[in-house]
Amino acid sequence: MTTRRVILVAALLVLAVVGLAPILVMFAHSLTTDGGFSFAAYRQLLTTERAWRLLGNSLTLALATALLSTLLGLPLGLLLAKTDLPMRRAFVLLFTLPLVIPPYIIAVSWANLLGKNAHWLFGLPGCVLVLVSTFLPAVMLATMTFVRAVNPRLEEAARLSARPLRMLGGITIPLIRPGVLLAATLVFLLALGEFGVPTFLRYDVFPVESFTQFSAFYNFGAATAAAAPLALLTFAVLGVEWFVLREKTQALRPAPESGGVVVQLGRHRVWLFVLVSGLCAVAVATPMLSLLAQAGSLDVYLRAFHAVRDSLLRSVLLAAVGATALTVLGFFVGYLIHTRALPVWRAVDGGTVLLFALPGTVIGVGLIALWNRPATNFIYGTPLMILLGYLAQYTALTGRVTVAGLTLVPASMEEAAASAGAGWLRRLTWIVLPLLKRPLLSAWLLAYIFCLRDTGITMLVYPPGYDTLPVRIFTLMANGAPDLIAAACVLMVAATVLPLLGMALVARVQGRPAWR
Amino acid sequence: MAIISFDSVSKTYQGKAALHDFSLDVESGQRVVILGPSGCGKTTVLRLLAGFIAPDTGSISIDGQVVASAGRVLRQPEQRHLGMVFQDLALWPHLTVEGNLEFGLKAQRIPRPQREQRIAEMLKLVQMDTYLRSRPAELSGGQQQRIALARALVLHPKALLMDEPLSNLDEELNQHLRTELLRLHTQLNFTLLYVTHDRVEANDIGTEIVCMRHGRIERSGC
Repeated sequence: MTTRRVILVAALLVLAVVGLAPILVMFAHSLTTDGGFSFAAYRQLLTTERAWRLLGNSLTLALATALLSTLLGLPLGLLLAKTDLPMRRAFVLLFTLPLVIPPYIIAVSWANLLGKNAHWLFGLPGCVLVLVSTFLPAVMLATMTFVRAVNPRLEEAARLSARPLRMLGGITIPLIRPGVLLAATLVFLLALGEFGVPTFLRYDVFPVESFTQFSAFYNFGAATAAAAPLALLTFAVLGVEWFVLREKTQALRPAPESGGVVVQLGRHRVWLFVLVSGLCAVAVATPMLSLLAQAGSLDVYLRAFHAVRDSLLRSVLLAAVGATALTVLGFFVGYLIHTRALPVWRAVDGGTVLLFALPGTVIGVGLIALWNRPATNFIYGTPLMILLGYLAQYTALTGRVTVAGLTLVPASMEEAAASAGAGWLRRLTWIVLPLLKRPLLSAWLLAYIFCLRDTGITMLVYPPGYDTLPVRIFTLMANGAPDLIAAACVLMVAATVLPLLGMALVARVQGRPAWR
Repeated sequence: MAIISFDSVSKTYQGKAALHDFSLDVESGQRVVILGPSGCGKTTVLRLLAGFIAPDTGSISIDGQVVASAGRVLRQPEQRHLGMVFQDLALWPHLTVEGNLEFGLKAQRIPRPQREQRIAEMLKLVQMDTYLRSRPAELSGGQQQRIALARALVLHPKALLMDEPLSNLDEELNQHLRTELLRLHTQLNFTLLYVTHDRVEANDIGTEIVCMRHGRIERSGC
């Protein structure tokens, strides 16, 4: 067996242990009662009216969020990627902000802002408002990414006979439709698995039920049975998505040169700018400013820092370690997928996406089912559980970024090194990794952000006395002072955004990669 | 009177001159070939004429009307009534052959019966009339070339611009399609501005050949 094969198989084994095994054990657990095979937990769950109501609520929330996020995110992405709208870069940064922080922070800020008039916020409308603010940028960013992958010649060929709007409607949008549908599907699944916002805004959905059954009643059978339908639903939706959209994104290839047709908005520029500014005010500026206003003075920030200092440091440390481990695992997984080095590459690709789309509570319950036993207690009682959760859920992110990076590196680079007599590890160390420096930096940053904002997994698996900042804020929300909570939320936002700004500065200084 | 006219046009990309003081007149029905090595600015000539970019200095006229002058696109691409065949053909992969030909006709609000008639006639002319419902990916390289040509010509353009359309084909197919192009030109008598780096191709196709190097016309009639 070659070194390459050994290392890639080892990476797969890690992925199987941290990702696949917990889900399988969880399913097995949900089918076991008193040591024997039984559907009792499912029977109990599915014969109650409450379970069907929860399923209905979960699906309604996920559908409404996906639909509205797509209806707003698609035109927004087109406006920001294809037109001369003023302040496009600032809008992209602002709209992306809610995606990188725990969604319940937006819910807290809206509740603070509306005060006693917040009745309508608690329930479906509030959940949809908050989750659309959070996931709209996912569709927006996907639209922008796919639009930039459309060969500019296809648009120019259309511009020879058609106005810009007809070009967008007849050529650009149909070409990016598979990508946008993929983003909408992911938003549907992320909203389906969202746990923090429905808990805070008191809207009963399946992830909350699973968490409650575990944490409040310690009914592990019911918790796994409540998690299983979400897992099955995720699996089914991704299966349909794969079947419908397979191979269709092939029309999107890296453009031969940057650019493409820029649509001049002309006299529509002003009112479209006002419209986008209005959306930005509702989705981002209002909740963020509300937090700042609620937190108020420096004294409150100092008290909040004192109260959450340990959790904040743990969060940053865990996120940094988790991001590093994810970047390493994601690199090998991405390399395997890109080079198709093992026959299972397609299953690995689909498997990591499935794990990413699974609700955090499902992965959390699975990890507990796998590791909470005497023989593995030396792991179960430690922060390693949180890291295992990160690796299970977020490898898709770093893997995909690696694949995108490798796509831009000509295969001849590694082939030239091979023909010069370099072994695989040497080629990796001296050729591939240096060329992937920027994508890997992006992968690390993305992983850091997602680890830092994680609530669903961490809430279930963190060892006593080792809570992270999102978990600490979440518990403070039950009985903490509103100004203190708002200040803690601002600290959370700062911990997320500051590294992002740092990386942006580094990227600006370094410029474009040498091989392009 | 020239149907296409470049008057002292210059274009710079990121400080590097792609085109310098370029002047050219093309008469109606002429087949002008711009011949030159990669990076000499010949594709820039077509992109300026199509309206995808604006010249830094000088002006461009079509049919006696100024369509672009220093830093400004005065007529948008769809208002210039030009057809173009791109180097990578740029056939829309999500549309059928019929859809590819119909898109421009619909954009120009040609009524449905006339659209159908023009598409049928054009596909017959390029001998692709049995491929109406095929998608580009289902066609061979040569068939895709014919569809790209048909898509450009179905709009009855004032001039046809071709950007090294045969460069990716083997010699036999290249020769065959050159003959086809000349046959179509005889039948339809369109004005052709053809860009290539291949001297044999240029000699075969052009009634006039313009040689370019470093963004300038080196000599005419080479």
